Amino acid sequence: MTNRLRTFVALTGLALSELFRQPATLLLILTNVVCTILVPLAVSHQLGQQTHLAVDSSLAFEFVFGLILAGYAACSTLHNEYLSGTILTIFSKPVGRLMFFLAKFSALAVLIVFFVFCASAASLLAERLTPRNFEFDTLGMRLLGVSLFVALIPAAIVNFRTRRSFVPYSLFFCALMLAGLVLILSTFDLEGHRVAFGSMINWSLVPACLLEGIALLLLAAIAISLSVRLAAPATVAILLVLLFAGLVSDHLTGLLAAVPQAGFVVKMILPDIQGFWPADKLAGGGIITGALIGHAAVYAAAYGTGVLCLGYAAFRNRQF
Amino acid sequence: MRLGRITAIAQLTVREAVRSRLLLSLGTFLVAGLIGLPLLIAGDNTLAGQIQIILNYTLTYATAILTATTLWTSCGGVSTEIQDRRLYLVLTKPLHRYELWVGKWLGIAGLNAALLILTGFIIGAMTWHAIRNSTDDPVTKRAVCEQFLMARETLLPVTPDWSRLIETNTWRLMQSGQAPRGMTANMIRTKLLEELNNQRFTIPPGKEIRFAYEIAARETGDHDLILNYKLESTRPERAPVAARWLIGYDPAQVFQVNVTNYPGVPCTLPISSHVVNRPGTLAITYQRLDSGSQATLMMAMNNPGPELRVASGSFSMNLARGLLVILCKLAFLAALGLVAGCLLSTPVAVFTAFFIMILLASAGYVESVATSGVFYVPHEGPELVQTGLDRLILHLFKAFSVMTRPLIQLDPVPLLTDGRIVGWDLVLRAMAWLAGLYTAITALIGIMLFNRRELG
Amino acid sequence: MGETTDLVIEARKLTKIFQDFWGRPKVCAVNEIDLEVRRGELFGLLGPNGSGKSTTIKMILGLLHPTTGLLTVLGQSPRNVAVKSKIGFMPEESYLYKYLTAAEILDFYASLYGLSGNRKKERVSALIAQVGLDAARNRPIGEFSKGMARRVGLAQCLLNDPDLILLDEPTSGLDPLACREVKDILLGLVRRGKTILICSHHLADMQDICDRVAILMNGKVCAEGAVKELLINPGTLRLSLESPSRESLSAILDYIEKETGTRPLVDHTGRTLESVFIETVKQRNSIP
Repeated sequence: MTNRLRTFVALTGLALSELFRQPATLLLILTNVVCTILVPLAVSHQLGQQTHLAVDSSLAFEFVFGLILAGYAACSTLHNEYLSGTILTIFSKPVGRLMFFLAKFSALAVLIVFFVFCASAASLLAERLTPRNFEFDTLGMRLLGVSLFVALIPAAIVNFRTRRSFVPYSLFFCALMLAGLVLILSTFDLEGHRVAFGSMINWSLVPACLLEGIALLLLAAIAISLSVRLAAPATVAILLVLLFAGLVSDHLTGLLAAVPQAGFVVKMILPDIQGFWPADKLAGGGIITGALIGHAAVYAAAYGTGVLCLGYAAFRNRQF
Repeated sequence: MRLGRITAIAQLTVREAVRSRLLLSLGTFLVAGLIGLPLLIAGDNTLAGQIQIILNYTLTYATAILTATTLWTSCGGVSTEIQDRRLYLVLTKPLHRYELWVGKWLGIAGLNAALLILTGFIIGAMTWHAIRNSTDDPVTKRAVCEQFLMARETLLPVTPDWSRLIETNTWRLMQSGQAPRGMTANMIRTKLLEELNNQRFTIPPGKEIRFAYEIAARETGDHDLILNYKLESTRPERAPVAARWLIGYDPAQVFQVNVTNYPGVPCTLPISSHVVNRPGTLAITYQRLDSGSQATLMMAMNNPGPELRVASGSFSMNLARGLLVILCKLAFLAALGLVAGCLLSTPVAVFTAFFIMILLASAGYVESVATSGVFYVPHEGPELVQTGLDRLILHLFKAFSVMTRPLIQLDPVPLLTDGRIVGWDLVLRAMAWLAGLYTAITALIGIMLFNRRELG
Repeated sequence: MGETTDLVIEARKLTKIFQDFWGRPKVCAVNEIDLEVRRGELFGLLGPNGSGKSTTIKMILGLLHPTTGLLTVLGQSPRNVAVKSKIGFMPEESYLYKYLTAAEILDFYASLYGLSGNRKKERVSALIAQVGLDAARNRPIGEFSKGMARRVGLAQCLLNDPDLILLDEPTSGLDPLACREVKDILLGLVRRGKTILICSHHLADMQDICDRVAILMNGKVCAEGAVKELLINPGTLRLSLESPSRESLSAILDYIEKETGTRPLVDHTGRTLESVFIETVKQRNSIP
């Protein structure tokens, strides 16, 4: 491993351990999971539409919580370093600004991947728990209700015995518990009888969550670029505006039909969030193909690289 | 002197917001949204639709933005000062922690008041601009103004006194032994009342129903009245219904209007102020003209009857009262945020405050669970077996619902959007509950905990 | 009895233990210290980093609560808000509102002390002049250098003409001239009967102005007493001579050697760098 790579890994690891120790990270990820798995309770009276609503809601939760997490974590890892002055210590060492900026983004990307993992597991469980014909999955509901609390206990024990931070361990055990629950509920039906592995889980949600994950990585790139100049409230606010504007970008370009150049500019500037919104594609039994994910990934990579370049250009000239 | 210290903290909060350009950025964001949203959202190309979009979206947007920023600034107002230790210096002065809390709260309330005044002016200007620039004829413009840009009180039809009838029939059923087994006299009374209410609003083909409204002197004037109603059909095809409204004090002098109604679609009928021009009992009759139809209609199913909306104030005062109710809500949220900020770090405080706010916003759901006794599907499917855990959670919901019940129906936005009056009673209720009791309880708990907190 | 009433700060077996989330002891920052600061004295609290100086000051200010032991400030509990109207505190860092100007920030703190109207204006103006910030009174604190912000910190500390002044590293971030000015201000305050408690690492400064000092180490008081007494090295004397000739010096040394049996060390009495700096800057400033 070259020295440069070693430095990059050290910077990313440091940023990552900081991010995983923030209480807000735990709160946002846990809330997303809890909201997602509570959806089946709220939609049970929607005759015939329960599954559709449960899937839509869990995907929407993933988008919104993921966006807030991206904005908050980006500012926490980059902007707050100016405020606390720690960035001066880093730059007094042989560390280039580009490497520092990319390391911060890499750490943020790892956090988003972790979030998407938890959110995907929660979505799969929510879909499984959604009552069909008033058949409630009482086994799943009880397992889920207990397991989230149980997941926090080993983290508390670690904290008590070794005085290590509670947050990263609780995140790790929650993720482990969610994955375990998906595996358990894949093997049993509503009555608790053993069935063929995976037959009780709608695996088509996985590519949908993956598609959203790519969108969240794109938003993370925007967030880290914004956090070069802005604090968390402004960054999250702009991300929310971009999310909603991106979702209605077709409508916006339609409004600007009289001025095609303006419409073109809007289309080029706004991220094409519609292309990543999987609920429409899943409606009516549709599936998300590998080609679609590939196309979305290429778009996100191109757009994200552009945004990161702009972000780095701003960061390069930043004075501390 | 104590007031002087509180004022100093409040002034500092405002000054910081102004100097740090928070107020400017927030104001810009607010103005851009208030003006931009109605332009972006496609309506139904009618003036009425446009006015409804302006009122609904701008008020919802302003409330959402101010809610988010109030929570953020109130949480950060104390917790960031603790974090960067500015508060250490302040608290070494002869200042009680409650004075600091109240000063911060007043400062945030002041900022919110300023932004709400700005919101009010923008909404007023935008509605005025929409009416002025509309290509519709003056009659349509007047009708839209009458319907939406007005504070209207809702009159409901007088409920007939069925007590003697119910008592006689209950007695007869109980005496004759015709009452179903296991039914008590009270259960029979309830069933009979339900039945009579259903009959009251049922209109078979070719028949009519009549409602009486008590008009007071203050409810007459130059403004038209508006009758709001909705029909439900027993037939799934929902064919249009030809009908006639007869309106008047005296059966000999009635104002007639022929209408075509679609079941399931809300309808409005403007009634000229010349027709309703004096106090008294106004009779309003709905005659079905389609005797050949097979569908039986129900007027205002599950509701107390068609609503007669009478003018009782100007739009500007109504908007001002509505914004005052929103200010009371924001005052409570500021208290919530300050308490969270006094005890927790900024991100955790913001998260906690948002979580509590969402819990409070779900007061309607909590109330329905607490009253129906089930978390889901009270009307369909097999009865669910409740476990001990279910019962425990249900009791928690009931306890929570006692606290959140007053919060239900303290939302002025649907009233303003619909041209209905935001009464002083609602404003006083919001002041008493939200800005008063809830804020005071939150503040007491928060200050008590803050006093115990060490700043190390 | 008279001596007891003269105590401005009294600590008896004062202990502060910080706890972790589970309520277990994490750090014992202050361990059963006894401390007495008398009216009208300039008391120094010395010690290396982490010795418990700042924790002690925070307890005196009522920001931290003692785990055990007794602590009174001006005869009352430090958590009593009324007692704070007689205290002035200057923290180690400035901790000021960066968007406010020097005048505004002093005006704000003056309001917290209950000053109003002309009295407040006069007091603020006088203090701004005293700390030498007249030219920068309307500039936001965010634009100030560290030294300027420290001056605002000192001014806010003196707003209420306090009986007890607590200073945490008062000369940190200040140039030697400003240091001298601050020390002069403090000595002036002591002459007016004020009590001052200073926490500092700058031992030369402390030696210059303190009447008594206590040295803290690992949360315990290791040494305490009057500065003059602590500095005496028993059995050693210093003899200063005004430019003696080589012959006279040699004769004196021979005599001392003969009488005591040891030949004394001879060296030039040097000026301190501080005195050189102050003299140079003053000379420069006096040139028109």
